Amino acid sequence: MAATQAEQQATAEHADRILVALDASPQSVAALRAAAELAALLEAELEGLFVEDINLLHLCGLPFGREVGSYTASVRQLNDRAMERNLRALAIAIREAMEREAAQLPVRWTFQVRRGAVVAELLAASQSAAMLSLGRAGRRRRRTLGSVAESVVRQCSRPVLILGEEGGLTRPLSVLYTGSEAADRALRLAIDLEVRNPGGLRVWVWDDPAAGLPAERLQAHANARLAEVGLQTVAAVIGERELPDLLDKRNKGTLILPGEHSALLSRWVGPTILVP
Amino acid sequence: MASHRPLAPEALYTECRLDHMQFDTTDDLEDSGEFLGQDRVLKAIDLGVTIKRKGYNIYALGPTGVGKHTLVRGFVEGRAAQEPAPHDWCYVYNFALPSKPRALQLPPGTGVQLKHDMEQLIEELRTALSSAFESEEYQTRRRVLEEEFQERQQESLKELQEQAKEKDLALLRTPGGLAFAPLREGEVLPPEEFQKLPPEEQKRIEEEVEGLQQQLQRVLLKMPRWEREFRSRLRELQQEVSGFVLSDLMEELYEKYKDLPDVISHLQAVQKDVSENLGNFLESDEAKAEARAEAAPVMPDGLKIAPALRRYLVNVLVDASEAKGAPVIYESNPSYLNLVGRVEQMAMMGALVTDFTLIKPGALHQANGGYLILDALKALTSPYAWDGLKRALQFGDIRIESPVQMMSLTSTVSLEPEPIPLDIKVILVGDRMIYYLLAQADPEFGELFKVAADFEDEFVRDEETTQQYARLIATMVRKENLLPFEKGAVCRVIEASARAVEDAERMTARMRNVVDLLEESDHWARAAQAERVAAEHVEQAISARIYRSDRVSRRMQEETLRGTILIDTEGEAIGQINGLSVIQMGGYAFGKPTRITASVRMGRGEVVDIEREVELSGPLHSKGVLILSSFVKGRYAAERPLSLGASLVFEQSYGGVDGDSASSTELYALLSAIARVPLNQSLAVTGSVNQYGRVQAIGGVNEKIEGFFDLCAARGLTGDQGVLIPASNVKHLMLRKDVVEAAAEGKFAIYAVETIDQGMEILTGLPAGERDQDGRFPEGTINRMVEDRLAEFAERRRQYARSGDEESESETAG
Repeated sequence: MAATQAEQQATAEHADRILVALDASPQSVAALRAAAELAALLEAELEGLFVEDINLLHLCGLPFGREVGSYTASVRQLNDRAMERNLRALAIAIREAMEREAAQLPVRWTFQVRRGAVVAELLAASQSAAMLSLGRAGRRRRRTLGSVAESVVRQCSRPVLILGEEGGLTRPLSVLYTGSEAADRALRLAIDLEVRNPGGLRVWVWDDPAAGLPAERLQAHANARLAEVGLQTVAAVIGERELPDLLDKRNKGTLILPGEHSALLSRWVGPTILVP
Repeated sequence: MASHRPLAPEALYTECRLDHMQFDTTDDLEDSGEFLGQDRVLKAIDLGVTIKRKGYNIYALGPTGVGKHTLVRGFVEGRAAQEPAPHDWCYVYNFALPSKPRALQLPPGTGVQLKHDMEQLIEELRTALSSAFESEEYQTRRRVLEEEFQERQQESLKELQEQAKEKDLALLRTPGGLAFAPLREGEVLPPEEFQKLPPEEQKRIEEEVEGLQQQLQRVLLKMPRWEREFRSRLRELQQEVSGFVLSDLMEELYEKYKDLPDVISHLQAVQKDVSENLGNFLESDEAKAEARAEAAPVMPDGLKIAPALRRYLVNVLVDASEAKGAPVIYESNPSYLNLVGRVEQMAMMGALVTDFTLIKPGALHQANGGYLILDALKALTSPYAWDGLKRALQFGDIRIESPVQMMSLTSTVSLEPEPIPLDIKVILVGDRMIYYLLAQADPEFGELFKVAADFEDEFVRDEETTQQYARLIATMVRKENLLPFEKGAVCRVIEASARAVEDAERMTARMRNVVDLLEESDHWARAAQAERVAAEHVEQAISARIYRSDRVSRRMQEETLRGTILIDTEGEAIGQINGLSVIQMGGYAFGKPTRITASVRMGRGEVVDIEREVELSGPLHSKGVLILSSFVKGRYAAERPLSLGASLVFEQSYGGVDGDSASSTELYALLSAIARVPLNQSLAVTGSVNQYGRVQAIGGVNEKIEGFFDLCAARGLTGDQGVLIPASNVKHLMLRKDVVEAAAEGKFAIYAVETIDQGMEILTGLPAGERDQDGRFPEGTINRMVEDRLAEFAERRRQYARSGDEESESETAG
């Protein structure tokens, strides 16, 4: 019991800021919305971050800095002053979007612009935040994670909330429990969110024959956690066979995954929180 | 002077006895053949119905209440029952030209079947196609395709990326596209660092970037084509999967409708369209549920189907599955839309939309292959209906065109349904006036309605027809669920129907009035708690009917009794006589005595009709007066100038006079005034007169007699009172019972007169006199007195003329 309290305190400590990576893409707007919801729920501050990609600025300075239009395939000369203006305009637009979103809930918020390598800047900024929220990919629609998201997921030490184009933080929450430490943290986060705002919680215990612990014990453990806070939810055991059903896009809701299962991100396009 | 005897009571009322019929009540009588006495009409309709050529439509003309509708319907229904049932007609979507729905002609009962089959097809396609597309096979193959496409895209970019990496270059995403840049330690080489590189190195990098850019361009240019290719392969896959399901379902329908080439070609079009629009069947379950929930409360079943799928439905316009024989339709409201049909519209998101399922049939569709009965007046008074009807008959097809569309300047999107061939007999029912007006004013009418079925207003009343009439009454009694009528009551009804046409030898054909009398008699019988209707109940119904409508005649009689209207019913007077007129008020007519006076003086032979002078006289009345003055000239002043000035007037008449039925009356007054012989005021006179002094028949003889009788009876019958009627009117006498009774008791006399002389003798009690060998009328006769007085006028006038000449001569001399 005491341990639980300590853990909750730990979560609360981190829960003072939620970082959201913004780049004016529709997916980043979704990420912003979800992050704002989460911030309101966890009573945290929302911190928007727009990284001016240093690579782009460098490119503009090069004599052969040209871009090929992704749709028209025409070649255009890049110009560093135009690029600067472009980035400034983006920053303003993003700030306005943030203001609108934050005002609706409302949450406390800050916004900052940094210049540098995108992934590095995001990782650096996330160190001081409880959670990082970002879109699945850049401007191009696709199923797989974008390169930035992929790098961040691989390296981030904080929970990462990943949003596709549609919607914000939908309910119910489905958490995959494997018994790992990351899975414990994921389960705690899920329980915390459900306690703060009941909207349905499902706990799936991952039955992995290769793992050391039998599924029944994990299930008992998870159920004990749920019972502690008085939730009615009962954990269910699933295996590889049940996984496609779990990941079916018709199942609305938010998936909470332990870090070791980040591969599932390519099979599930709904909102996901990856807990390392 | 010949003695003039009043008519015997038997002549005043031709009783109906039905001596040759043995029955107690109408229950004992069998039903009559339905269409009594309308042989001409039956032959006309038979001809019209039998000739199967254009324009042989029928106009049934006759007054209201003669049973035109009943007869036409009865006859036509009898005929139609032996004729084949009509076709079914459906409208289906026209896949080639959606604004012109196709009409399908189908054997009776097939339309509904086809409709049902198509609805089932949609439902089955929906489930079969969704399960086909949810099948593991389809999903896997689709995923393979998608991945193939994505891989192809990524592969080609990855290849470039690899190539770039080998050359220490990176593929970067810019706001508008893609770019290459030299890398160092994972970051793009800053420009200032780049400047520090040796020129050859710079050039190399630049060239490499250039080369990669060109390659990238080529890859990007291919992408839209790949995407198209992907889509078409996906479509092929879908067609392959759906084709299997679709052809299996369609095969059944092809087999079922193999004898109907039109249906087969429609089904083929459906199959093609479905395979091209599979997406319509694959909407998500939620969207379907939502659409249904929204549509449910107001929309008819057909509309609950998604709009995109409605085009596969069948709109059954005419369903002949239940038909026994050809259709007979009576359209009671023949408006344009009710005749020709309409394309309805419905509001959807604030706009009016329509499709072929909203085409509604008109009476012409319903009656196609059979008979359509319409009221002529209604068809003529509904806007555009008459034109629409004529157009359909002329062109032999039904085109559904909205009058709004025809009239309006703006043209909204609407449908032009394929015309349906029309094979129909139209029977218009209306009165004669409309028929004659149409025949005169509408040149197309004669072409389209070649057969006129002219109804009789009355039947001859003889032994045989009276018996048929009695059976007809029995039929109606049963049809209307009335108490049985006793024989006496039936006789009374027959007598009343003779009276209704003012003729002892005819009976009315306006059966509606007869039914009214039957119903009212039944009412009085029930009120008296009788089990059968007796003659007295019929009598009661007739009296009650008169009582209900005789307020005006009562008022007039009261005013006469009070002396406001001056009518003498006893005594004698010179130049004054009681004339009789008939006033028609709605369905009720009554006779009214009117005082007519004549005054004479010396003059130039003119008879002044005061009514005419003030334009209160109709042309027929004026004609009568001219005829009577010509009679006076012809008889009494053939050899010398008529030196008479006379004025005739209808006293206390303020409303105008027409008809020549008072011309004999006026002549009596005139002769009395000329001869200075008083006329008997206890008599009243009616009858027209010709130039030779013969009295001719008039109308309303019964009402006229009864009008005078009522006045006399109110004052007390003296025994001298009576009415002079033309002898040719005797056959029309069907007088009220009290009049007949008074006549039988000798208290009231009806004289039939053939000539003015007879009339004058009755009115004055003096002989009229005939010319002897010398050409003179005997002394003491009326004619002598008239002639003498006229001679006197002529003599005096001659004297005046002479003194006048002298005066003028002396004036000239002076």
